[in-house]
Amino acid sequence: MKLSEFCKYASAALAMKLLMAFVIGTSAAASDELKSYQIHGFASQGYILTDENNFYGDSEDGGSFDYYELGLNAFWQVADTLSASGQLLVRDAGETDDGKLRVDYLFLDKRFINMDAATAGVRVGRVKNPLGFYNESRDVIFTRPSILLPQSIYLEGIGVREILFSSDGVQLYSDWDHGRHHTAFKVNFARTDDVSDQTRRNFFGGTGGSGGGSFPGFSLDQMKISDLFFTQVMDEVDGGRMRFAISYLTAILKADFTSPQLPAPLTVSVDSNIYTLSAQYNAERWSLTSEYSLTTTKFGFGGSESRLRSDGMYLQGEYRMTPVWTGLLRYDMAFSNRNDRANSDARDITAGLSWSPNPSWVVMGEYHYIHGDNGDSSLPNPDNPGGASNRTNLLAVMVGYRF
Amino acid sequence: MQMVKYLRLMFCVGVLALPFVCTAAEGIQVVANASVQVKELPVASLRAIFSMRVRNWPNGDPVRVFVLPDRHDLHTSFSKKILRIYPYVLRDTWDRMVFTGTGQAPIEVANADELMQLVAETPGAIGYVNKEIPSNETIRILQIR
Repeated sequence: MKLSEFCKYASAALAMKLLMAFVIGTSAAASDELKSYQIHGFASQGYILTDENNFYGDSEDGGSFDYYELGLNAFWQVADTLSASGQLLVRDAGETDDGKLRVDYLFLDKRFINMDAATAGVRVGRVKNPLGFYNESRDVIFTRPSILLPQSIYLEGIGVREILFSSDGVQLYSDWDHGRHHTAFKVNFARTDDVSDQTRRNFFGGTGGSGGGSFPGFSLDQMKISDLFFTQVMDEVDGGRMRFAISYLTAILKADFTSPQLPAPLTVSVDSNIYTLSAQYNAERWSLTSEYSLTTTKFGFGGSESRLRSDGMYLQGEYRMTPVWTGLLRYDMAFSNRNDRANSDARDITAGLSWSPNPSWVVMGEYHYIHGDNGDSSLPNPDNPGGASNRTNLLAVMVGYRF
Repeated sequence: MQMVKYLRLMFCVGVLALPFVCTAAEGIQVVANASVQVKELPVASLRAIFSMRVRNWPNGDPVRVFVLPDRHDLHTSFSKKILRIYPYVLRDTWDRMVFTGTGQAPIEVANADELMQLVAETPGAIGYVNKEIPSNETIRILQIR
């Protein structure tokens, strides 16, 4: 069965189940049958005010509300070792995301080992990609530490989020307890796919078929992502007191440009490897988190080739003053050229405050001072078509609800 | 000399009294539905259960985890003293599962009485109570090693 067919069947089955649940109603919720599924959702609305550059919409001029996230998910325990789950997502973020409904994930999960000290299994469908601590659920305000994530690890600026987030493919997973440790291993194999119009626009400015954006005179014929592979090992010590992770991803992005002046299409390829190290210490009142990422990229342009190594890291402290109030401080720095750090740095100093009157609601506010010789690389390109300056003061507020 | 003897006595009394003091101060017991065949559990297994990683009891019955709200005193004490996991870390683990489709959140109930009642009524259920009660025909007190 083709993957698209599988997805159709899976979503139909899930929809049937949900419909049944609503029809039967909550009065029967005590029965075993109905407890085998759960439905959850979230909604968040952001406001961003900047000087100098735009961030998610027209944020310079009185601020922008063009930033929201909505999600609805269902999890169904079909049998002891089989589950189905899916999440629908709507996200708008200035020019970088369009607010269209999409399937964030939708997969079947079959466990081969199902013991209390060890599990192993396979997930098939559209699966979430592991990368660092926050990538898998980074569109949910309740599972990230701040409104905007550190750009050294969680890139937004160059518009590859769709490629990083979830992929149609297969995930093999396993986790096991040993002494004070709980270790989890994941590996994702994604199929070769055309990238969406949104990513094309984020990358090259123009849409497929019409103008080539940053390559005037050329038109973008096709753009594919291939050899996409993610893996992660995460170790938790003492029930999450300390967390360590190593993540690796590799992908090849190929774009074919055509032009009346060229006898054959010109192929531009970007072959990337990203290595990420993550560490976290969780005390009762405070948490300290740091992640480092190294990216090696091979650019191919027609017959010529060039290589680039970039890296970045952040250090983040969170302090839970009361169960209701949490403060955050972070220093984030990224270097687009590791061999020329002095002229390729982008830095972001962040101070944030979060107020959660009850576990269903959160209001977050944060200030970012984004600067450095390459400070504009942290900003979403499509929001600044006329180019961006290296220095931005940014204020963000977000209100989130979940159930 | 007198002082040393006195200190030694204090120490002995302290050590002997320690287990009683701990039980009395915490008074928290892990309770399961009588259908659960397990009598005692290592802390590691209890952690795995409340982290929502365990789906079935050894006899195959589904595990049903019941908890109180995150900020409820009993939940906080249970998390910190029995599981030795901070409640916010536990919540983080559940959220990651719920929003990545890899697991379910535990069933949250409003108060300790309701929790006790649901554990007694639901096959495969596990929860916690803050009073000394014996096992009976509907519930089983689990010993944590």
